[in-house]
Amino acid sequence: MQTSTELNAIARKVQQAYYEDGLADIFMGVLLLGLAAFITLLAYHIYFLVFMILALNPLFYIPLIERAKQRWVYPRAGYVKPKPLQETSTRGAVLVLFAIVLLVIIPAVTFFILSSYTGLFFWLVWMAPATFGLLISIGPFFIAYKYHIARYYLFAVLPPPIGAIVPWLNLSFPSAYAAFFTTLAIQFAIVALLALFSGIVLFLRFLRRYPVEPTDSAEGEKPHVLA
Amino acid sequence: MSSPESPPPSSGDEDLDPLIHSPARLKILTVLKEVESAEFLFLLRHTDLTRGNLSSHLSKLEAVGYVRITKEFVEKIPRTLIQLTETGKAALEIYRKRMLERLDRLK
Repeated sequence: MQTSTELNAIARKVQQAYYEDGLADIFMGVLLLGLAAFITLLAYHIYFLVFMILALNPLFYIPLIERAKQRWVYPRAGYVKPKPLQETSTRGAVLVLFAIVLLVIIPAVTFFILSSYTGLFFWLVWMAPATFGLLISIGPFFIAYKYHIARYYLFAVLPPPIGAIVPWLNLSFPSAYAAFFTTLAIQFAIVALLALFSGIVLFLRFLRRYPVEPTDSAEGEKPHVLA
Repeated sequence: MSSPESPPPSSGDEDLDPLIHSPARLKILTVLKEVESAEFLFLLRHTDLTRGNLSSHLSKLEAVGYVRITKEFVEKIPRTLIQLTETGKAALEIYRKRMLERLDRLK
C-alpha cells in the first residue's frame, strides 16, 4: 500500500516540475537585469519608463519561455500543462493581493508622514528602497511558498536588506531620485545575478540528467498508451 | 467494465475502489490530479513505471473513464496528452475519504 507520505512527495515533485529545469530562473534573471538597466536609465530620463513597461509585459516573455521549453525541456521530460492558478489557490491569490495593497499603502503613508517632516530627500534615499524591496519580494516569496522551492525564499529575502544597506555606503549621486533609482537597480541586479546563476546550474544539470527521449512519431502513428 | 465517463464503480459503501487501490494507478492519478494534463513521458518520469506498465495501467483507467487520452500535433510533432476526468477526480476523492475513514478506525 502506497504511504500518504510517498504520494505527497510525488504531488510536490509534480508541482515543482515547472521550475526543475532552471529556465524560469534564467528568464527571471534576464528580466530583472533588463529592469535594473532601465531603472538606472530612468534616473536620467523618465521616457525609459515606456521601455520598462514593454519589457515587463508577460505577452512578450511568456511565449519565449514556452518556446525554450518546447526546444529543450519537453523532448526530455515530457509536456505538462499546469493547473490554472485560480483553481489551485484562490486563498493564495487573495493573500498576494492583500500583501501588494499593504506594501503600496505602507510606502505611501510613510511618504506623506516623513516628507512633511524630513523632506522628499530623506524618504527617497533612506525609506523608499527598503519598502520597494518588499514589493520585489512578493513574486519570489509566492513561488517559494506555493511550490516549496527553497532558493526562491533567498530571492525574496534579499531585496529589502539591500535597499536598507546601500544608503549607508554613502555613494555619491547627482540627486535624490538618482540615489533611489540606482539603489532599486542594485536590488534587481543582485537578485537577477543569483537567479541567472542558479538557473544556468539547474539547466545544465537537467540536460545531463534527462537525455532526449524518442517522440511518438519515432514509435509509429499510435500513441504509447493505446498500443 | 463500465463505459468511459460513467460514474465510479461502487461495490458497497465501505469498499475501496480496486482500480485506484493499486499502487501504480494511485501514483498515476496522484500525478494527474496536480496538473491540467500531462504527456506520457511526464507521467513516466514521475511514476517510475516502465513504458509497458504505464501504458497498460492507463488503458485500464481510460476504459472506466477515469482518464482521457487525446493526441494533438504541435508543430507537426505528435503529443499524447493524458487528463484526469471529472469521474476520475470524483472517484479519487471518494477513495481518499474511505481510506481516511479506515485509517481513523485503526486509531
